[in-house]
Amino acid sequence: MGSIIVDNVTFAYGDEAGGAASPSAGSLVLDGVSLHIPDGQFLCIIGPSGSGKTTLLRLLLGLSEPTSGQLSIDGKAIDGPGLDRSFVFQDYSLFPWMKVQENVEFGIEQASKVLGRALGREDRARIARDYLQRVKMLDAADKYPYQLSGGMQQRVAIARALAMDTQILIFDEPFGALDVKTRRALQGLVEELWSTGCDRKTVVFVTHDIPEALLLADRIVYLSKGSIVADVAVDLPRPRTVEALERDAVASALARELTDLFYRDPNADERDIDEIAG
Amino acid sequence: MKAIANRQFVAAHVLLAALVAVISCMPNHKAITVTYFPLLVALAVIEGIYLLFFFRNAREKKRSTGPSDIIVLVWVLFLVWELASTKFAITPNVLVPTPEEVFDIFRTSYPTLWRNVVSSTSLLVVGYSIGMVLGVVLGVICGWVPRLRAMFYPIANVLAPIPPTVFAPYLVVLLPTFRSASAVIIVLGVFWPQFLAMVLRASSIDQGLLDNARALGVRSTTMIRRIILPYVMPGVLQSLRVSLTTAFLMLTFAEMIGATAGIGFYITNSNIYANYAAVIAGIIVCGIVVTVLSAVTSWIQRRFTTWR
Repeated sequence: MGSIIVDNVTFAYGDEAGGAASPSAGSLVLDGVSLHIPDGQFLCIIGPSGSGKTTLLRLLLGLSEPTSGQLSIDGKAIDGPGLDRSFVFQDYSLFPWMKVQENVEFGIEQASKVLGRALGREDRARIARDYLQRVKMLDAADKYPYQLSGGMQQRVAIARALAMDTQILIFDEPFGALDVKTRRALQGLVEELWSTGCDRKTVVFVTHDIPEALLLADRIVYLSKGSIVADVAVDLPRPRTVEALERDAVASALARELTDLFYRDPNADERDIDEIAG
Repeated sequence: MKAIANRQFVAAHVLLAALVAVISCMPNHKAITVTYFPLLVALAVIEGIYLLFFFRNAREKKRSTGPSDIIVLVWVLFLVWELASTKFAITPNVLVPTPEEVFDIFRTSYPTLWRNVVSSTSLLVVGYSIGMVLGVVLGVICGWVPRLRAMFYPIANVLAPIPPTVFAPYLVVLLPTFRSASAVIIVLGVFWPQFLAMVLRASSIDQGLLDNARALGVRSTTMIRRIILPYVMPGVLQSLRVSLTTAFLMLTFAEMIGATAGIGFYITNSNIYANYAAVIAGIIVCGIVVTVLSAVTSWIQRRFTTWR
């Protein structure tokens, strides 16, 4: 349970306001994207800024509606936010007025409300503590987000997403604003959580960082100007580490291939190329 | 720094001793019929409050000269007032009452004063609370629902700048009791600024937070209760004191135009009978009431501001 189908999806700005049905070339963000993500796959989406990665995630989350085409989960069309999906954003992942523990509990509460699971207050607290423990943030349970560093906040956001126990996880450049060291630590954490989890969740993970994508993904999709340009399988054994991947010939070849995509892409600018190295 | 604090501490007490000596030993130029005992009690209360601040600062190792400087100024003013009125009668007899007469009012008419304080404070608390709650709740709802915002925000912008006091004469005849008219004036004074501020704040909530909440499936009442209200709360807490000042302004104004109770009424009424000692006593009571309420609101503000 958790396979996603994106069927010939187009998204253009301006149409949400009920404007003309023929999108102009400039406002076209997604241009006929089709993608099938099987249950339990870890998919990374890479591509230059403005390629429509975040828009695709917003459509998956039900925060926006496609101009044409359809997205569905397990054959059921996505028609709004739903709690079969949990998520981690780059910013604003946590509510600043809730303590760490309350943030996680709120996610669990919402998920249980919608999915019809009967969870008492104590159950929620216990689950929240359990997941905070897994991301090593239990000590900060009584702190407010502003008292934590960016990396710690993202750890809590990951704990919240996992604690909601949904079959699909959506990450929108969750580590994009962090320094390299923190980013590596959190990538390791996600890799560890995902490969040791008893039930494999379907993950859609947007990133700028090629080493990050290689570390985490089963499959990498390259998006440019609203279209899928490349779709690569990453058949590397798990568990993976960044160091091991740097020495691995297959991984290095893949990294070169993906880096080349950026260099050859006319829509990628210098900043994109700076960022892909991680 | 410690030495400076001590020097001022000594100066303050020398002044106090001089003041007490002048009050109790120097012959009066003006024949006054009251004793100076209530005045001494008042001085003792002021001294007590000063000592409280002084020793709290000393305990917290704060090198603040504030309390000592303030008390020196207060004693000097008392000395000038006492000398100019009671002792040398330089000031006009009726218009400037002596400190003895003013503080004797507290002895002779404390039941009246207390009754008026209770009347004013209850009216103020009721009007202020209704105005705040309505302003926040309606402001948040109108800020959150675009259609309501588009409808009510322009209307509010027209109505809000009208000073609520202009409604006073009409409200007094329209509403059954004077108290209800005063309450409505206070509510109006507090409501409009709060409403406008809330509409703006609720409608400018960060898109990221909103997306986060929406993607969690948060809707309607949960959205207002768990997301929007906590989001606007720091703004509400910050405006508590300003709104209180507005409420007090409206209250005293309302009381001065036709009430039969309250501090504002007490002052106006004493003024009519040229009892200026009572007028000044009433003003002092006003100061005390507003200071206490202000302290309470700052405490609430500190206590509930958690995340900003």
